Amino acid sequence: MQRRVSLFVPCFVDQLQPEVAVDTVKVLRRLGYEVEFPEDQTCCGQPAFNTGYWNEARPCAEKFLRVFQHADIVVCPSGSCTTMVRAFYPELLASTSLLGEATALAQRTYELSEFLVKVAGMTDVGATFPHTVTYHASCHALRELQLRDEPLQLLRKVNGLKLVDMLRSEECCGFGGTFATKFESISVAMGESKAESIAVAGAEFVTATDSSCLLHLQGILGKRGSPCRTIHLASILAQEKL
Amino acid sequence: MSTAAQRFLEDAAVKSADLVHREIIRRGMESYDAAHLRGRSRIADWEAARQRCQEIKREAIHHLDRYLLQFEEQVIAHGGHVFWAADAQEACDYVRNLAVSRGVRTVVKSKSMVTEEIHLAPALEKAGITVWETDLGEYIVQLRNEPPYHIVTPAMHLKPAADF
Repeated sequence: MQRRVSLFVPCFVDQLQPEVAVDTVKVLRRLGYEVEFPEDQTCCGQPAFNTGYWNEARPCAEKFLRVFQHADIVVCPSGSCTTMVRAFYPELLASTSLLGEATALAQRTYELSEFLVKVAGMTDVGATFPHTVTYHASCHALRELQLRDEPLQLLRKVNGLKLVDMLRSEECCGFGGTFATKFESISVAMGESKAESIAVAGAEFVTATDSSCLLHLQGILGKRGSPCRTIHLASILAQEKL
Repeated sequence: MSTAAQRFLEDAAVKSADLVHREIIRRGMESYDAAHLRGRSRIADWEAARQRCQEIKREAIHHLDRYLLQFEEQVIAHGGHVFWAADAQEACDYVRNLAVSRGVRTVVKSKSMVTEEIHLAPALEKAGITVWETDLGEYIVQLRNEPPYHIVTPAMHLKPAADF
């Protein structure tokens, strides 16, 4: 079994929710992994890629390949940024000499819940979180990485956690990266629909694999005065008994 | 920003804040999802079927140069006629001239996004021909003098009078 992993921290986490990265490290270390963090890592280039600026995104991808070239396994607490590396890098670098390297790194890069369940083969990570939680399936994790059940398997094994179903849990929250700024009114309307599903679930917390969705939802839930708070999956898995 | 893009943003701001509209679409999507699940349950390996469909579509789109000629050949072999239109105008002119030369006064048409895109109905109407949509959803929006709301479900933004 690989005992050493490299941590890839998405911009959203780095800039806005650094505790999610800290919690990811906590979980991995608790399971006996040595976590390496290459400090010169930068944005994976997804915002540019998704907006059609492939030439501008390419240097980011090239840099990512250099930074993580010696990593055996890359773990990332985001389905979206993992998707960029897994699914979009080979497409972005298709006509370059880096395609082989990109394809190989794509195979070694995993979203956190995916890594825990599929690679480490663990669902019980020794976490305790005595709260009711509902799960939102982030688009990239679900639709690109096909992660439907992995986060739920992990949540079901958390001590004291009561998992409650969310209506239309697989529906987009409306964030969508640059979509939220380009089509703000539609993004907000979709977020409001999601907030209604969350209200029906009646949980104390809503969790997901991605900080981006959660930040969008936190803004909308806060505006509605909802008592439900957002929490990243990594932060639930990091909680231990006091 | 182009005017069309600007208008889209303005229209979107109004529509996306319209809660009645949101509820109608929500209900529409729920019944669509339910129908989708029923259809899906009739296929043993849904993902495999989906993958196969994707491959067939992609293959066809990437080889239109061959398939369109093959299509033409087959249509002619079955006694049909093929007209290659360079643009929407040519296509509409062809259909209109055909109708006019045969003394057609009324046209009933099937649901077709191609005819929607090339604005065939207005072209025929300009020649004094009455056009009727035969698809129920398309017929409803035609009576309201609106373009279809959605390519598959043209009247999904409307609620039945007895509902709500």
